[in-house]
Amino acid sequence: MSTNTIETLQFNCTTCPSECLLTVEVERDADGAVVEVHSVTGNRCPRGDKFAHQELTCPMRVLTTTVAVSGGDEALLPVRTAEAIPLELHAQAMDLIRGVVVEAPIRMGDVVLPNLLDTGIDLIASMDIE
Amino acid sequence: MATSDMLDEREEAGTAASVPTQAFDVVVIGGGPAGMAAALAAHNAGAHVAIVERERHLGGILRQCIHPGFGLSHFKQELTGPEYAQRFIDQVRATDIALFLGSMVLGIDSGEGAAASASGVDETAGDAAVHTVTLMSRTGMLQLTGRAVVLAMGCRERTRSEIKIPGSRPAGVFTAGLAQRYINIENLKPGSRAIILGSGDIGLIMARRCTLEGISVEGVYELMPYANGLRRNVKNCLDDFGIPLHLSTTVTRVIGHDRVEAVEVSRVDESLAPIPGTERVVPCDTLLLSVGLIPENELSVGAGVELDPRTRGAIVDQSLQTGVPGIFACGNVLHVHDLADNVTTESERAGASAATYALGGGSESNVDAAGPGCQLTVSPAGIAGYALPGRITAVALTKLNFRVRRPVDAARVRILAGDEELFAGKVRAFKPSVMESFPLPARVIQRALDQGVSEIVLSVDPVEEA
Amino acid sequence: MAETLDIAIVGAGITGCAIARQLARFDLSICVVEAANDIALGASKANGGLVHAGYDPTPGTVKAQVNARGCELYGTWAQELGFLFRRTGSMVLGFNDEDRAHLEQLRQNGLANGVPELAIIGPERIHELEPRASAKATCALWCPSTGYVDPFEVAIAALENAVANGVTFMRSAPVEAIEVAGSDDGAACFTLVTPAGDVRCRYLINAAGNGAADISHMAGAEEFQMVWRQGNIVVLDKEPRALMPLYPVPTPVSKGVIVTGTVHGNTVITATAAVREPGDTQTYATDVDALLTGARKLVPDLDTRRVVRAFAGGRPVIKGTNDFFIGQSAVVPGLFQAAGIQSPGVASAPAIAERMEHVMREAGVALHERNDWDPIRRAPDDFDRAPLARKKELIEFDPAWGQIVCRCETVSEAEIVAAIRSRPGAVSVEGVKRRCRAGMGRCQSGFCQSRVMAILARELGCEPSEVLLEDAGSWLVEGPLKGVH
Repeated sequence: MSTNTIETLQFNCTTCPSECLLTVEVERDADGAVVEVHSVTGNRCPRGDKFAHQELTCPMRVLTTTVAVSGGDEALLPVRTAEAIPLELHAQAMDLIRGVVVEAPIRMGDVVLPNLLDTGIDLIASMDIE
Repeated sequence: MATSDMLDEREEAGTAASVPTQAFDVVVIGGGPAGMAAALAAHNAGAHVAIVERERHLGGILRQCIHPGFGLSHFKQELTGPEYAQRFIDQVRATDIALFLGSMVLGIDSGEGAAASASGVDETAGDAAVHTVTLMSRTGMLQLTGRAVVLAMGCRERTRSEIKIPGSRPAGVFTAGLAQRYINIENLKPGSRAIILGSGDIGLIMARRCTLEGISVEGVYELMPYANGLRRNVKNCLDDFGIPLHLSTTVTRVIGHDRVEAVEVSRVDESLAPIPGTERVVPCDTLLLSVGLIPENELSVGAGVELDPRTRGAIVDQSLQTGVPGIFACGNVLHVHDLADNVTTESERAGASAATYALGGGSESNVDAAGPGCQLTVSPAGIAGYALPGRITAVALTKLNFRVRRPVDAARVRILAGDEELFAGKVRAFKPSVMESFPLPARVIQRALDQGVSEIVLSVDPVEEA
Repeated sequence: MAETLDIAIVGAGITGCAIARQLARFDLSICVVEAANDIALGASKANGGLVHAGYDPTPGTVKAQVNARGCELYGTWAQELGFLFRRTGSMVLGFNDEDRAHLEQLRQNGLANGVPELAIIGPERIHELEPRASAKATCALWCPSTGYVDPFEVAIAALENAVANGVTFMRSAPVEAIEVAGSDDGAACFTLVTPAGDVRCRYLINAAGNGAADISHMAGAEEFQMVWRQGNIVVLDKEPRALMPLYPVPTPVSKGVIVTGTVHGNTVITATAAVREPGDTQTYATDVDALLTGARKLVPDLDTRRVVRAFAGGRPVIKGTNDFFIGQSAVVPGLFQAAGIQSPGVASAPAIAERMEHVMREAGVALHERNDWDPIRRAPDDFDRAPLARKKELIEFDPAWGQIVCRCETVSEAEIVAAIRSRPGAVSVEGVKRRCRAGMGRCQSGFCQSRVMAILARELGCEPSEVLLEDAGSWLVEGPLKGVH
């Protein structure tokens, strides 16, 4: 039986432009899965602590990409997930988005794909297209 | 574009009566984030404002910057580039700011000829020259007159030629911004297997965009021993996707006759020279270059604006006025920014200053406000790459911007006048990727004046750590 | 099998185009056969554009004769063909007494070659003629007849004029074999085998530049051994005033690193000379450094950071001689050679064409003047250079003139469309660039490439993925990313 290991990681918090460099002590099991985050230091506000825990369990990112437009004065509509979704879903989401075509006109905030991959998060338009 | 031919045309532009003219208080050149913020600020100050924009849409380069990371300081929430732009577009559209879209400015004339030709303008209203902006579009030639002009044309990307990458000249070498346009605007895939040279923010962002769109990124190569972009971008664009970042390494040869077939990369020494024997050939069909931005000031130079060789933008005073009275500059045409939010803040200042100038009848009132006798130049020293504004003409709290030339863990900002240190900031880390902002108190400026110096020095000096 | 033409000219470089233009005045059927998909893609492209005056070549050589004569003819050619030519004069700068002796030698050489008005001048006059010339220069050879052109513009102007007078142009037609046979009337008859179709002709003109040895070999004529004397060239951004051509004292193999203005207001530094593998058009860091260093020696205040482009090409040099070979083949009658046209090929082009006419006449080729020959080629409208009133007029005529595509060089959509629709028109992004300068400026098409691509796709009726940067294989983009499964 192998025992859990304690690892010290350094990464930047990306919640705000300060980009605090976090030092995180994390305990992993034999498979590398995170058992517990022991400590987070280097953060200048509580959001850094929250970010570190999230980052080690399930990193979340806003996905931004484009979808094809028909009948508009642009070929592509920039889109984003309304909130961050798990990073590990991004590739799958891209496969889904590749074939989508939306009709112009479109307003910023319009829902392009509701509840993307059952995340509960919508894919929304980032810009108006006439 | 300052060829002799262009100069001839500008002379002619001033006297050509056949071109229709419209008069404004403030003419803003460029409809990107800088131009929109400046126009809105000038409008809010009561000025009659026009925006001239080359593209059919407002928004500038933000339209293709579809990634998040915008608005964190200005809107206190994370927006994508198009969202950030759309908020300003909506604001501009809600005003009576005149929009000249799909219009290209050919020249700015600030001479006496311009004032004479500006029919309908009461020439007795002030002593300041009226600037004439000659533009063209599909509907014809047009001249706009403005008591003030705001330059907000943004910047362009450095090219392969400027960094002198040797080798062949096949298709497949793109600046990162052009590739970004192909992918995000044109719906075209620029290649399948890419190498990115330069770890500036655009390069990092493009590494992620390419990966998401099915273009494999073999690696990001960086000449310097550190990443040039923001930490968040290294993390979110490279680390998230396992894309390697090769520091102190550069592209030393492009290979391929018709289309890129590979690039040769080499390690570089401390003086950034390639180390013989470290060459490695990396197969790829696409080379993206993210090797720096250059303010696009050909129009400014044509208008007689003097540039700072360090920033390659205009030399301005604390109100962001250039050496040509009534011409202001802001955003990336003034100096290359790290964040759009900073562009907005700066441009609002430029727009407000331009409105004050235009509505106050020109230089007269401005000189009064500044108080007589305040004429200081600001120079960078130590590891500060530049200092902006380059001139201070008023005793007031002044925002100084600068960037360091190399990263340091511990350094401090010092303001020097002659041999005397007027001010010393606290010791902290500095990075070249960050545009620093430093408030210079009025009393420091006054002390410099009291000493009778004509120059103050902004010095960033590394300090030995204990 | 196709009809038998009177003349086929192999190679649409500046030499082939000039010859085509020269012979178009005669009652002859002529076809220019080009291996690449556009003209002037070989040595003509990799050129600094100087119209050297001709004081350099050894007196008595073919080169010496055609160089001085070519320089003289440029005025007329520019006028008739509507290309930009500036006769600025030039100086060869000397920095010491040894240099002065060289300059005197050059002057004597020039006098022997018939170069007019050569003079040795001192520092004061040097400064007066070009204030930016190095203050360290103690003497100079002043040569008022030197000038410069855009070599591509000369070639396209000549070929456009030839085509307007009935010459045909066949592109993407590399000659793979040449069959030589006697015809019914006893004269030779050549059949050129190309992937674009065979071409039969009574007379063959070899103007294939770096391919001239291959063509001669295929025809069973002279076996030229060619050397690829490679040169790197650097283009700097525009200056408020274009520099006068400034030369260093030449070396035995090259004119050295020359700094010159261009017709578009840029500065060009040309060129290094190194024997390299045939076909090598790579730039080298060592060469580029040598150019910038050499240039600063002549013009100390030159801002060498402002590099717009660096490129390279090979001079087609016949091994064992530094001279041009212009004449009928001694082995295969009916084959006329213009081989080994290295430097100063651009300066010599009009005179090479003139000499070719003379050689053919001497050989008994029937040259009857046509009565409908038009020597004039009108340059396309150039928005950037047009006066304001003309600009206004152009946009009123067609709104596409008001749509600027290339902002660095102020090139409108109308000019790009005209470049594609002209004959012979552009079929690639670089072809557009060479014709109307879109993408030639400081941003090197970072802004306009996608827009030029879209116009090319529209005009040529193809997909963006089929648009080429230059020749076959130089695709720019793959297909669409979105809206596809």
